[in-house]
Amino acid sequence: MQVRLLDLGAVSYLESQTIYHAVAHAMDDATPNTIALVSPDRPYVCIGYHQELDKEIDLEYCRSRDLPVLRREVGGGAVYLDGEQLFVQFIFHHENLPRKVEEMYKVLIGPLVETYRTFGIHAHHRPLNDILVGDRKIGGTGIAVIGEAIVVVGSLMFDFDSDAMAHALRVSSEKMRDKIHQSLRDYMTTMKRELGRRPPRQRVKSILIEKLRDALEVELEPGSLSYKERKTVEAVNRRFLSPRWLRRQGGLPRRHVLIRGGVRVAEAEHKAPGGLIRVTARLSEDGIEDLTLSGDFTFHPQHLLEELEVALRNRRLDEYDLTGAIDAFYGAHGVQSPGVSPKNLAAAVLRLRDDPSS
Amino acid sequence: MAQVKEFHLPDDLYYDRKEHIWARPEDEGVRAGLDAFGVCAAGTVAYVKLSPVGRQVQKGRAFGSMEAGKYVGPLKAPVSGTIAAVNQEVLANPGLLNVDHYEQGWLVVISPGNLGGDIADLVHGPDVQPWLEAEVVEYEQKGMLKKEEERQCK
Repeated sequence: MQVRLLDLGAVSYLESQTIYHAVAHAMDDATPNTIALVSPDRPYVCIGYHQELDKEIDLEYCRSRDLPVLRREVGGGAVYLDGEQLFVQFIFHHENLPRKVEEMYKVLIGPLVETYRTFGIHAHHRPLNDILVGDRKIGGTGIAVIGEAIVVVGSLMFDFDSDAMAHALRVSSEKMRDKIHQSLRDYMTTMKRELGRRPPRQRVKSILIEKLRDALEVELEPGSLSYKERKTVEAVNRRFLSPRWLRRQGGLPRRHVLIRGGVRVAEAEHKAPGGLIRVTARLSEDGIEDLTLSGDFTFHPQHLLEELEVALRNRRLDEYDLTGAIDAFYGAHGVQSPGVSPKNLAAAVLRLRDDPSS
Repeated sequence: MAQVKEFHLPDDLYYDRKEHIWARPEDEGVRAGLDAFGVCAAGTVAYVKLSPVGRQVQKGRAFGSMEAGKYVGPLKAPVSGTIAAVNQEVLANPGLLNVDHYEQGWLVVISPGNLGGDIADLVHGPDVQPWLEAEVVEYEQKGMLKKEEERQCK
């Protein structure tokens, strides 16, 4: 089997998305399996296929930073993308990739992991689709069926602007944004962060191509887009720039921001007799990593609220455990919160559990 | 009932070989959904979008899309016709596809335009068992399915 390699270098932000979509939409029996390597020539924000623009993105921030927004046909959440990422895009015939999603991811992630390792970065694949260095995520991946093709996309991360990412997302409160920002810093990494410098891009690309060739056991033939594909790129460009496409109705529920597999930032509210309790938390598989309580209820002495937040760290989202811990805290410190009982506070925290993906 | 390992495919249904969409002709139209093999391949379904009632669909073209974990894909019509009903419950609770894909997790009912012609190439009856056996063997041999003991779609 031969695979066409489209080594396209820096392309417009629009075509960093539309080229692989176009190759997929134009795919027919004569189209070779294709791997495209591209980087955008400017930053932008990209939302998932089933997301709703206004619910996901802080459009005012994007306008102020002159950040365009695109919708892709691949799922998942909104991401900030720029030239510090090298996108690796597989556009394959169905029969040349595994049917099962986990196995498809291995095809892409294996060579990415091997490339990082060549540079001394101890990356590993954490199923389903994360690449981690220690417990930090490096790069993202996604899969879609587009036209007659299977598309698997991922990236190598030279550097990442976590500040821009945190600000580009529409969130319910600044507390939530702060927690997202902090979590991105804590749980994401890049080649620059791991090595103290960016490795030369051309060298990274050469290694990646070698690893792709080895993993797939195929020849990678440098190629270019066909006439039909170029015309399809033009058509997809028009569609992706149209307000109708960008603003189409979605509905994928997002009650959290996934930082990496197993770690998410979530917010929940609960109305107690004494007022609204809002909880913003970072959650891992082990339970609460970090939590902030706010709202319009009275808590006396006020300065102890922060201590209660600390006391709830490392606890599981378990009603009995949480109520007991909050009860004990109230007893030990003589806390008074009219109309807000330990049970109400526990109920607010437990609402973080309502997330179906947790 | 055709069964290979954990995959159950009722043999009174008709199946699209490539898309793993099932079809069941009923009085009000052809009810369609995703079969056990398709559900297993996709993983936990997070979101389903379906074309509205009244929309014309072509056999082999999308009548909706779904997002499962880190995967997005079209749901392709097993027959041509007009969407006569949409399962609102599965829209509200996409997880029904994972737990009850042949009953509560149905997707749409299509009022067919050419039922006889369209279902002719769907797998049905005694052909389901050998087809399923071949599918499972093929995907396992190619490493496309995890080993049986590692699969989580029982």
